This record gives sequence, structure tokens and C-alpha cells, in this order.
Amino acid sequence: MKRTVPLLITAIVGFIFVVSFFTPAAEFLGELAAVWFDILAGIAFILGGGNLLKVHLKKISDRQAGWGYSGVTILAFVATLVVGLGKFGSPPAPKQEFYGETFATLPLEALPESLVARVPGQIPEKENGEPLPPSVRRQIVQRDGQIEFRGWMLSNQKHDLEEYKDRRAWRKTVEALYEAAQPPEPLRGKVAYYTDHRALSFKGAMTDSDRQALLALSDEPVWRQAVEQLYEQSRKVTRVRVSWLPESFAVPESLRDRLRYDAQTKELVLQGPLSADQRDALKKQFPDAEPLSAKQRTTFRKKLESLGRPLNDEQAKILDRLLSQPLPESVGERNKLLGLALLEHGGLTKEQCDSLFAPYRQEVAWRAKVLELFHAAHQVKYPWSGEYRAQGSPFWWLYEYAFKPLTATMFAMLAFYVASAAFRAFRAKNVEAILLLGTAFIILLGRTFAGVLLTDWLPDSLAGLKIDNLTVYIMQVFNTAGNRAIMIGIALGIASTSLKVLLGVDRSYLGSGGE
Amino acid sequence: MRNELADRRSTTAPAAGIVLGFACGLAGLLATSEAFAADAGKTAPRPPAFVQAADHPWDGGDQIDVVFGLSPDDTSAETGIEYLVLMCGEPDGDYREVGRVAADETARDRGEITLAVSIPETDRLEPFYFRVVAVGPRGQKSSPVQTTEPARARAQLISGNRVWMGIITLVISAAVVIFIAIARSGRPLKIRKIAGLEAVDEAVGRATEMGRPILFIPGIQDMNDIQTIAGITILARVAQTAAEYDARVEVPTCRSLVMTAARETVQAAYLSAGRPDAYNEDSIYYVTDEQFGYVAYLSGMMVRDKPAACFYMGAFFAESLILAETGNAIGAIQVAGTAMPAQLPFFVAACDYTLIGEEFFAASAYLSGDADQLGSLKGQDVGKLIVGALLLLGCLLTTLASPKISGEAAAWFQTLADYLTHTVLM
Repeated sequence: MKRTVPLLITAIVGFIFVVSFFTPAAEFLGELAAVWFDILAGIAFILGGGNLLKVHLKKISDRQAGWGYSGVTILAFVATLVVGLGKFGSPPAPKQEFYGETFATLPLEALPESLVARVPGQIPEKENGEPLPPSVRRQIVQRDGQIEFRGWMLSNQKHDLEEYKDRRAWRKTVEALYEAAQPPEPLRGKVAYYTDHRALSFKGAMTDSDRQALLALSDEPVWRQAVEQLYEQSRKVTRVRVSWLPESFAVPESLRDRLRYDAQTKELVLQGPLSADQRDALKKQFPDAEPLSAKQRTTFRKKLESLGRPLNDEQAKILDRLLSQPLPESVGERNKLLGLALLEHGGLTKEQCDSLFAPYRQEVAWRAKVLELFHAAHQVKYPWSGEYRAQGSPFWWLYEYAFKPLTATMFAMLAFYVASAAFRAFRAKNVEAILLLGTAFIILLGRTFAGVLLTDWLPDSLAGLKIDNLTVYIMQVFNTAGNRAIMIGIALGIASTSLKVLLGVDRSYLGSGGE
Repeated sequence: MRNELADRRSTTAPAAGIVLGFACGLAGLLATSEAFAADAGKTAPRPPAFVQAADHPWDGGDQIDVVFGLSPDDTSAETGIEYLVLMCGEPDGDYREVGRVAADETARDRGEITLAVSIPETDRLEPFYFRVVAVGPRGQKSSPVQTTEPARARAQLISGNRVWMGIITLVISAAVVIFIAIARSGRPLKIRKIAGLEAVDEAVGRATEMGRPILFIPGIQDMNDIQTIAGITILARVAQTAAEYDARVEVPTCRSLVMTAARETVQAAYLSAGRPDAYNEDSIYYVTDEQFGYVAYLSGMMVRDKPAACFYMGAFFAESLILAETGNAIGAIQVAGTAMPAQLPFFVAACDYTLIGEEFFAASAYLSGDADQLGSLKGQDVGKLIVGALLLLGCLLTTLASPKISGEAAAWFQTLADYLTHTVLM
């Protein structure tokens, strides 16, 4: 029994792979089997981790030779495991986050009856039995000749439904259902319900009238609680210390009621979250770079030269070119570009550099402050959704500055080993070894410039004897032929071994030939 | 051409002036065929001759073939006519574009174009209608031609691209099975000597004499790699011999699943050798999944413990030479086996014995001496015969495809050679 079950599993899964390879209709079975293998391998990793701890702890406990290495191994293992699994310092994945929105948890079943939209119609059936798209499957039902949708339909859900069946009548029904499944007018575009996330969402800061409109939808305690929670969350005040403001600072129109600068405490005060668009609008507080006229360019140059050394001819040309052409960047960006270009083609004094780079420094500092405000005001939905190897995280640090150099060191040793192996392999002991040595000599020489130069003088009629051409010929004909012979043997060996394993003829990999 | 003619007329009658010439030209223009209009690129081309749609044969149900005849105006590439293929789930619905194609020379010779339209998996078996519109160089569209019957994408039982591969697989598998049956009937089968496998006993014996461990490395891939399975089968023999000689085998693995499989194998080998008490599961352990971390551990271990015999049996990559050279430096007898062609030269250079490709897969049968397994090796030879025959056929066809050798029949041989390389061996 101990051998029969694994044999059966091997045979069944093996044949599934074979059938799925040749039968398009059964391709999914092969994919399923591969997923099962991944799950098993994942579980086995725990087994491996446990074994690693056991072996090395035993070495330490017994004070065996080299137990210190075991200590380092365990320390590195635990540290990497903790920072990797804990995702310390990894920001949440931007794709998983809803910037500019706040949430209150609310299961689909708790949505009030007033949020059920109904339109007359029939959900069409697909001829392949394909069910409704996953994004809407839990919210839509067919009842008494009507299609019911629970919650507010999102535009992506509408798109999925329209794509479900290519019929004009169905698209019309979906359009009607979409219109029916929208929030009441004062809340349209502000409130949403995400079924997959079991969350009621609100964009921006909720006003009292918005709150009343939402509360009016139902008297259910769960609903009221969710609305109140959302109200509180969306009105959270965030403060970020900003010691100075850009000269042309103006609160963007979309944030007029929610953002202010407190001159006394020198803080930016924001009510509610910031969306990506609002963040970008707030960032953009610096004038765009306009092309300068000839007179303006001369003034600019004179001013710059008055701060230090005069520009050389090339620098003057660059200055003229960069300042005269329209650039999409701000003044700070343009001046930074100009400064770098000027430095590349000559020197600049510290005062000149300061003058050129100062606006850019201000812009960067302001952007950093806006980003700080953006993140501080954001309600994180999935804190663990970030990439475990996110730049700047402890895991990334371990990976970049400990793991990569160590593996690169091991890999680099290969260069020395190749040299020593070549020295042994190319000793002219017999005829075959001499042939090998000669071939290697031609190939090595043919891959260097010296090799090409050596036989460059040969006339075109003898071009085939040029070392670089000989190299190509040896690699393309003799080497390829030998390689293919080995590959064909390997392919047949794999087929035969696979067949033996599938048929249970060879059971030695399970421990023995017999039961 | 026509404009030139009009110009000439207008210049030959200066008295009638430009008006007469223009009138003649205009009359000529109106009288000419629609083809001329299309050539001139001013009016819409005539619609395609016909359109048909059917399931793409021998596929997974993800394509429908749309075949349509060229517009009568599409006489050369200069006309600039393209064809817009539209699809909809109902005859009078809202058609959407699924392809845009222009005729090439082959299509013009045949008078039709075939376009394979991709169908998403969720729309398999759904009915679809197609329309094709000819589009002139300035975007003028002809009236559409439309399919009358819906086409459905269906998944077929066998993939058309793999029919030949299936046939070859079946033949080789049948040959293996037949030779296994012949071997079972008791007929003796001769297998040539493989030096690398003969050396297994020698290597284990040497380790026993020196009182040092044997190191067995089953590659760096998981159990789903056939090379790892082949390596584990050799481990069974090595462990059994080691158990008989009372030598110690150490198996550090790169994958947890390989560790569990190797433990089972070694335990059973010790049991077969009648030494279950000598089995120590701690000598088979997991190191790390990381390639160079594993190599670092192995190199350090080899230098410290100085195993007398090292076996490298499985899938190896860049680490092959690092391991083999370290083993060489400590003076161990080394036997390697892999099916990675790029690593074979390194093993050949640094190891005492190397199992090259198919020898590695033959090891299990060779070492066990089991009639069933030896039969499978003979079955493999049929595969070699088929491959040899196909090689010869390919060389012959390619040679005959030269017009210097076979004259007008060259094209026919070329077609056969193409069929062999692009269809049979794809």
C-alpha cells in the first residue's frame, strides 16, 4: 500500500499531463495538476525549513565542527523569514489601494432592500454553460421575470455584463439595470459599494447632507453603523508640517473646502483623503517653463555669469537652445536640465549652481511634503498587500546587500574553475586530446580580435580558412551536429524513462522495485 | 493613364479650349468601369465576393476561420484596398471590428483571404456572424457581405499541431512496451557496457576503504524533473552498495520534496541490503532552494569533510563546474550524469566518469539488470531508428529540392521538405 498509492498517483497525473498535451479540451486538467504540484511543493517547503532548523540546531547542540556556521545559518534563516513574511517596511500595493476613498466594512447581505435595483428582463444563458462574470455573480439574480441587482453597479461591472452576451437586447437591459442601480442623485459619483472587498466607500469628505442622504436609505442598525463609521473616517483631519509655501501657492479647486494652511502652526491641514488627481493638482504649484525671447535669454545669461565665471561657447549654445525651445517641465525642472548640461560641458561656480538648482530643490521638497500628506491622509485597505521585496524594505536590504553579493561571489568563482578545468582538459595526451586542443585553440582565437587580424590577409578565395570563419563553421556544423545527437538521445531517454515511471516498470525512485 | 489621355485630347483641340477637353475627360470618367474609380481611389471599392466562417479545425476552440473573396477591384497591391472583418453575436446586431487585413500575392492568386479570428474562452460555442467590408485607400467603405449562418468555435479532441508528435510518441511507446514484453518472455538482451555505471561499485568501495563518506547530489531541480527522478534511481543503487559495504552516504538536497523522496529510497535500499539499522535519516537533509547558497554549502562541506566519492546525478546548471572542480581538488573519485547538454563538457573535463544524456536515463535499467527495464532500453533503439530515418529523409528531400538536381520537381521536393520540418517535426 505504501508503494501502490504513490504509483497510482504518479500514473494518473502523468497520463493527465500526456492527454492534456494532445487534447485541447483537456488542457485545463494539466494546468490543474500543475497547480496541485505547486501546492504540494509549497507545503514541502515547511518540511524543508523544519529539517534545516533540526539539522543545524543539532550541530550547535553537539558542538560539532563548524557549529558556528550553523549558528549564522539559523540566524540568517530566521531573520529573512521574519522580515519576508512580516513584510516590514513594504508599503501596500498601489493597485490594491483606493486612494481618495474611505471605507466601512459592510457585507453584501447587510445592504438594505432599498439598494436592490430591478428591471424587467431575462438573464441570457450561454451555449457553453459559462456562468455570469465573477465581478457581478453574487449581486445579480433572476426573480419573477425581473433581473435584480443588489448594491450600486460599478462601470467595470457594467462592462463585464455587456461582454457576457453579444446581443443588442441584453446590452439594453444592462444599460437599464446600470441606471437603476446607481446611488441617489446627491450621492452619485461619491459613494460606492465593493462586493469583493465587502466595503462601503466614500470619495472625499462626507458632508452632513451626504450623511443624511445615506442614512435615509435604510433604518437597519448595521447600515446606520456603517454610514456613521464612514462619516467619521472620511472627515478625519490630517496635519503635515510645512515651514514654507511655494510663492504661487493656491489651493486647487477640488480641495477648496477641505485644505488650508495654518500659518500659525505652519501646517497643511486636510480633511478627508486625497485622490491621485487631487495630489497631482496640489503638487503643481510651480509655473511652467515658457520659451524665452532672445532678450530674456541674454538677461538670463548675464545674470548667471554675474554670479561666477563666464560661460564658454558651447555652454552658451546649450543655454540658448534649452531656453528657446518649449519644454513641458516647470522652471525648476528646466533649470536643473540646463545646470546639468552646462556642468557637462564646462565648469560652474557654486553660486551659479545654487542659483540654477535652487528652484528644483524647492519643487522636490514641496512634492515630498504633498506625498507625505497624501499617505498620511490615506486609509490603508490592505496593509500586507505590498511587495515583500519593495525597495527600501529590510528584506530588500538583505537581498540587495547581503544575498546578491554572496551569490555573485560564488558565481564569480566559476571563472577560475573554468581556467583550471580547461588546463586539465586540453593537455595533449593522445590523438583525441590533440584534436580537442586544436579545436579549442581555433575557437578561442576566433573569438578574439587578434584571431581576426591574424588571418585577415588571406584572399577571398581562401576566406573559409580565416580563423573567425573557421570558428563559425566549427560551431555551426560539428558542434551543432554533436549537440543534436546528444539531444536526440536525451529526448528518447526521457520518453522511455517517463513511460517506465508511468507504467510502474521502474519503481526505484520510490525506494524499491518491489512492494 | 486615363488622365494622360484626357490631357492629350485637351491639348489637340486648343480651339475648343479647356472646356471641351474637361468635358471629354469627365465623360470618359463616367463611362469607365468602377474598377477605374477604385484605381483612382475616389469612390468606394466593390464589396468582397463572398464570406464564409467556420470553426478552425483541430484547435482548442479558440479560433474561427473567416474566408472571404477579394473585391473585384482588388487587382494589385497599388489599389491599397484593405478588408475590415467585423463580428457580432446576432445577424443584425452591433458588429465590432476583429481584424483588418490586406491581400498579399498568394491571396490574390487564390482570389480569397483566410483570417483566423480569436475567440475568448468564455465565448466558446457561442454563435457568431461575420461581415467583411472592403476599404479603399482613402477610407471609402464598400457595402458589407455577411455570413448567413452562425459559426461556433469548438474544442477538438486532438490538437492538429500535435498529431504527428502523437503518432511518433505512440510508435516509440509501443516499441518500448513490445520490447518489455519480449524481455519478459525470457529472450536475452544485450546491453553495451557503460563505464560510468561500472564505476559505481569502485567508487563506493574506495570510500569504504578510506573510511570517508560518499556524497550524492541529485541536482538542483524538484521532483517534477525527470532528471531528478533518474538521479534518485541511481541513488537507490549507490545507497544499497554503501549499505552492503558499511559506508556512509550523505545526500544534501536543494528541494524539500527531493529530500523526502531520497529518504524513502535510501531507507528501502538499506532494507534491501539487510542493514535497516544502519540507515540514518539525518544524512539526507535539505540545504536551501537557492542555487548558489546550495553550492556554497556543498563546496564548504566537501573541503571540510573530504568525501572519497562524489556523485552528481540530476539537473545541473552553472554550479556543475564549481562542484566538479572542488571534488577534483579534494581528490575524490567523481561520477556525474546529467541531461543538460551545456553542462556535459564541464563534467567531462572535471569528473572521472560522466553519463552523457541517454546513458544517464539508462542507468536505472543497467544497474538493476531487470528484464522489464532492459526491454525498455531496446525500445528506445526503435526511436533512434525512426529519428535516423527522418534525418536521412530530410537530408534527401532538402538536397533534391535544389533546381540544379531535380529541375522542375524541385518545388515539389521543397514542399515535402517543408511539410517534414514545419508540420511533422514541429
